[in-house]
Amino acid sequence: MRRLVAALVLVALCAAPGGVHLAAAQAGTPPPDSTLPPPDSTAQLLQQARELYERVDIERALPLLQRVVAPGWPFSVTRAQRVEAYTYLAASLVLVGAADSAARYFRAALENDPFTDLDARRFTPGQLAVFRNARRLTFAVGARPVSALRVDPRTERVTFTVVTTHVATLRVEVRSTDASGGRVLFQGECDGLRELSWNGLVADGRLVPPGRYALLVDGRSRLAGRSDSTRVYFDVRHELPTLEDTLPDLRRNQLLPEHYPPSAATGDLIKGLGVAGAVLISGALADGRLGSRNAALPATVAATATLTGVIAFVWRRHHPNAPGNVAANVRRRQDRQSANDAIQRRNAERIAQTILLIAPASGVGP
Amino acid sequence: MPLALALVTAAPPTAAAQWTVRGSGVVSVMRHRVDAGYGVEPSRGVGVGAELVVGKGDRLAVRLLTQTGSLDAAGPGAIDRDVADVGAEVVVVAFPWLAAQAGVRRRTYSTVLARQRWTTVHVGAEARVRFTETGVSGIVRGAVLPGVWVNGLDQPDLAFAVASGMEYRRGRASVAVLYSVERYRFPAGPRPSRREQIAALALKAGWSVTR
Repeated sequence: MRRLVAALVLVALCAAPGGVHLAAAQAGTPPPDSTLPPPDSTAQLLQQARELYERVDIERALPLLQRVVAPGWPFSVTRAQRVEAYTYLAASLVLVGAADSAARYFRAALENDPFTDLDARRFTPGQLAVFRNARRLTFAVGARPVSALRVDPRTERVTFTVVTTHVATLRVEVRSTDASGGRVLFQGECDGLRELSWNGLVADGRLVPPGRYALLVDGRSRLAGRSDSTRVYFDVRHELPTLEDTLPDLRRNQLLPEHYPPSAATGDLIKGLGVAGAVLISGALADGRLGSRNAALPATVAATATLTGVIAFVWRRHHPNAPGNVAANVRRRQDRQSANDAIQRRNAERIAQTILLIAPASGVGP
Repeated sequence: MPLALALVTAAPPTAAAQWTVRGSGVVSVMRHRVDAGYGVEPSRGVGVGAELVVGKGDRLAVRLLTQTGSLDAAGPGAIDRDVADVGAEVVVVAFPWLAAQAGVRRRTYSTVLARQRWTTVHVGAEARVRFTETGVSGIVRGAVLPGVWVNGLDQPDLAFAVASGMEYRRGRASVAVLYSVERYRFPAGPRPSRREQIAALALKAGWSVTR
């Protein structure tokens, strides 16, 4: 009887969906459609198949699972659903004694998702043995998608999970999609699941710059000599307090002239003569009816102003530099530099508090 | 005489919100002439005084000054007299080269015969001509005296004061030399017209503190 069931199941696996009905009829069981509500989605059908499997109603579960993985299945099938279908299909086939076919479906599940595994509490030793054999025959590497998270690189780590279906040489690297920098997280032998932590630094020890990155997983089987690779993209952003802008370079009009033009000397002479003239005019404003104007006092001051103008003229002709302005400019530059140094210190303190925002991404670029 | 005491110059521009205090000593050579209708009475003498300028920022300053001196008769009919002067003035710097000034002064002439008190209010401006060499400035100032109260006299119909000279600053120290003329004309009434003027050459040395 058991051989008969196995034969019927194999016929069902090889046939079109209509074949499922035929196999069921030949097995003396009613067609699935007559007892089950018509499946209107992959999830619903998988749910029915799981329930049948749990009731060890393998003959009825197998056609349902076969329909999910058939090319003609009209509904969308996620990768997880396909892997589940393959897995239950393989597990069911093991129960009906079709170990070779079961191994093929286990391998299909592993190729779709290298993280596929069987729970030893829910599957029989026979199923587990077939699955282990499928893992040895299949080589695939996998990496779990990066989930969105917020990481303080000072105290926390980003964890990546990678897997190989069997023992292999593995290299795992975080690399910018513009290939500007990366960091190897793991290089060595790996058999199965491995968790890798990343401190958010790139190869030069600096915090990873914002941008799009890929977790590159390359493996080479130690058993079959085959290679496989996969990559997972994610975005890195920095969350940090707003940084201050540094002061711009001093503009020309913010600096004093450090050299006087030749006209400056003449200007000083004219100023001295002008002040002397003003002094003499002040003297001329004295009341003439109060006696003759005393010229000595204004003349003294006028002479002082004139002498100042002449000395300034000669001095400026021979000393066109403006040391006071030079010193003032130096002070202004120093003040600006000091202010910028302080700003950069404050910014560095803020940058040190950078939080990494990790988010999954779909590819090299948007 | 008030202008002789006002040989001060506005404090240099300083950083905003800084307090600047400048103290100065003043020595003046004075020439005084008055004609009260009985001929010109010339006198001359020397006065000494002090000045304190307190500035807030580079826009506003208050100036307090005092001076005293003796004028000796220098002609027939003149008598010796002592003069004492106090005043206060507000300086508002409109431009780095121009400041407006307004203030009040109280002056007393004392002779063996009488004591005459003058109270004047002046409004004027001071221009600074800065040389390329830091700290060297020319000073030209003028003021009208719209209010002049003298005991025993009416308001003058002409009252003004002018001054000009040079100032030299080096660090906190400063030296200034200025010539000033102060002139009054009282109209004739019950009394004959009166003309009075005082000219002075003042030398001022100061020291400033900024905080």
